[in-house]
Amino acid sequence: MAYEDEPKIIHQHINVPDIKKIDVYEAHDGYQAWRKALSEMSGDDVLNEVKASGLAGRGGAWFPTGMKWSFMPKPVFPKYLVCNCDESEPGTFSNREIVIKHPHILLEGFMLGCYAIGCNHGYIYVRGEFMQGYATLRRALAEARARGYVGKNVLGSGFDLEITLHVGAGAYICGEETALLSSLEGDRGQPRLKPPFPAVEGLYAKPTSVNNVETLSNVPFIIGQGAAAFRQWGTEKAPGMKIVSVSGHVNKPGNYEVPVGTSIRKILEEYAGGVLGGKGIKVFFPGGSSTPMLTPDKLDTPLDPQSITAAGSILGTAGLCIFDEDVDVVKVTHRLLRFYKHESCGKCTPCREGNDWLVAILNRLAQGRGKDGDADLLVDMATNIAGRSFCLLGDAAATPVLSSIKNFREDYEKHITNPIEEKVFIPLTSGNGH
Amino acid sequence: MLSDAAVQRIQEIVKEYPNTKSALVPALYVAQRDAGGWLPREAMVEVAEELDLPESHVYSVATFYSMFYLKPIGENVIQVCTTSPCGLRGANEIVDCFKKRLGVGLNETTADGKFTLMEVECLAACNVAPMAQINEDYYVNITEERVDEIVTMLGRGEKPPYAEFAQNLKGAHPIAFTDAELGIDVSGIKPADPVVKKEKPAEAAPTEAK
Ligand SMILES: Cc1cc2nc3c(=O)[nH]c(=O)nc-3n(C[C@H](O)[C@H](O)[C@H](O)COP(=O)(O)O)c2cc1C
Ligand code: FES
Repeated sequence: MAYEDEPKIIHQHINVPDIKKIDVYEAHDGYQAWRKALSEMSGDDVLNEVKASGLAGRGGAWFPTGMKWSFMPKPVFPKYLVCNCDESEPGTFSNREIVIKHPHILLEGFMLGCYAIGCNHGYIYVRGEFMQGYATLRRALAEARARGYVGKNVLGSGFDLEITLHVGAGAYICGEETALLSSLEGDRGQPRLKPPFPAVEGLYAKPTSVNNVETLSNVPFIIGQGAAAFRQWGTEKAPGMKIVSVSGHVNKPGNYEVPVGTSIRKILEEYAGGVLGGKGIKVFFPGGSSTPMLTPDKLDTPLDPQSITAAGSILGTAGLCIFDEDVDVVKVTHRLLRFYKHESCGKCTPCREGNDWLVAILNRLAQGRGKDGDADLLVDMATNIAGRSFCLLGDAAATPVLSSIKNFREDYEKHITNPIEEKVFIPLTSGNGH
Repeated sequence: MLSDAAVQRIQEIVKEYPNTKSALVPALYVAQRDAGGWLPREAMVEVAEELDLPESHVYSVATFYSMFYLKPIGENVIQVCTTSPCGLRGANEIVDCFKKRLGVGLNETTADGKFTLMEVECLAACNVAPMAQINEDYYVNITEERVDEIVTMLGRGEKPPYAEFAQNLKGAHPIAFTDAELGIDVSGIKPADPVVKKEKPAEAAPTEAK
């Protein structure tokens, strides 16, 4: 079946013209799940339905959403729901497409989430660079308020709900949930010690759930159609669909919403049009730049958290980036480490200093002025960052170093004397319009 | 130095939070717009007064985030994403095209003050690489010819057609604008019918926490 004809959840109507306008969204069953929840379900009913669906966090950690919500102590008020729209993991771009094209599906999911946990004022944290996304959401929120879906006594149900759009200002670390909360409180975006977990002490030290855009955008379907309908796709352990962001050396980069467990090869060859120029693949990462690189013998792995873990990586955000056979992995790792060095928040020593040193050594390899044993030195340093930094950013930075040296140690040896060759222009093929 | 309009917008934003400190990042965007695209020290001091925060705190936050500029910056800020997924599709070559066309290096501003060129990290648009954020907008699938056209049009004060976002906010964040300025008008939208409650209460009955 052509990709366009396959069933979808979030993307079902995403390309309908003007779906970002409330009347068009409503004409496509929009806000029916919200009405259904308010008229015939309690907050607990919504929570239980989400639990039964097996929905797990799409922000990368795949933690069961219903369980996360149920951890919030009931008798403490106020409680907060915070939507994480900080999307900045290299190779990941599903949230941005949702907010610029289909803002109401996120708002409806967010409303349902607030209702499920008993939150009367929720915040959507939008990455600073997503100015168009922010403006689109702001317009959509104003429309939803005019319809009475947000505000005091929503649709006469007795439930009060306010939603505020908050903005970041350029910092990858603010995607980490506790750093996001610091940022939302008006501080530098630095992570906080866990425990206490946000479910107990989050925003303004109150019980808080932080959920990703894509996670919440699945909720209207789950409430509208039921948990069983959601479970018709995906695997027993990870039901539903996942939007896979395909980038790099492919003919049709873009977002593809597929049942969890679809094989990587199918996504790459049938949907993303195969590798640019029909070349072979050197390496790919399956879930954003923070997930270990895999070699092409792993292409038949089903894209679900358990199978990807068994293959030696992590599903993460399902940001699938393909590197063709001519790519120099040292160059790729060098560039990624510059990213992590730049984005380290500076709070803890292993990440702040360690990334600096990793980049220093990669710099000399890039110039062909490396030293014997540099690969071992990199491994030693990366191993000492991973697991020893304050938050997972340190682990994420160690990942490309460790996984590339594991698979391609000879490339590192080569650069002890040979500089990285100057870039080769890659002929442009336009994106697939996503 | 903050204009009355800016102070008013900051006060409007403050109402959205239980404490004023949360309004700091949005307020800095308002101040940055007001001061013409960057944050002079006096603007930060006034934000501190407006929000009743220590100046040192405002400064520490303004320096943490990459979207606040503490020095004057070009009228148009061109930020090409060169993180690996974009790098695979010619982002570095596009940086070179901009350098050549503008006659400046990275983090430099043209002599006429019209353009600043920068490199940025993944903007979550790797599917349409090479791409750049220019002012408030994303420009996607950039080619060498488009570089020329983009620079020419921006130089004339026009908005090039490759932009995705129709409004021209001169690089300021839309949070610094009021609904009216953004053209958000929902007066034609009628309230939806109320829901008819079916037995169960809307408030979640407290049950035992896990
Ligand atoms: C360094 C770092 C960056 C992260 N960035 C994001 C992000 O941009 N968006 C996101 O949803 N989650 C991000 N996360 C994961 C969040 O901490 C959190 O797990 C997630 O927002 C929870 O939502 P979910 O359960 O719906 O997935 C990041 C985590 C780390 C360690
Ligand atoms: S790497 Fe450039 S937008 Fe993601």
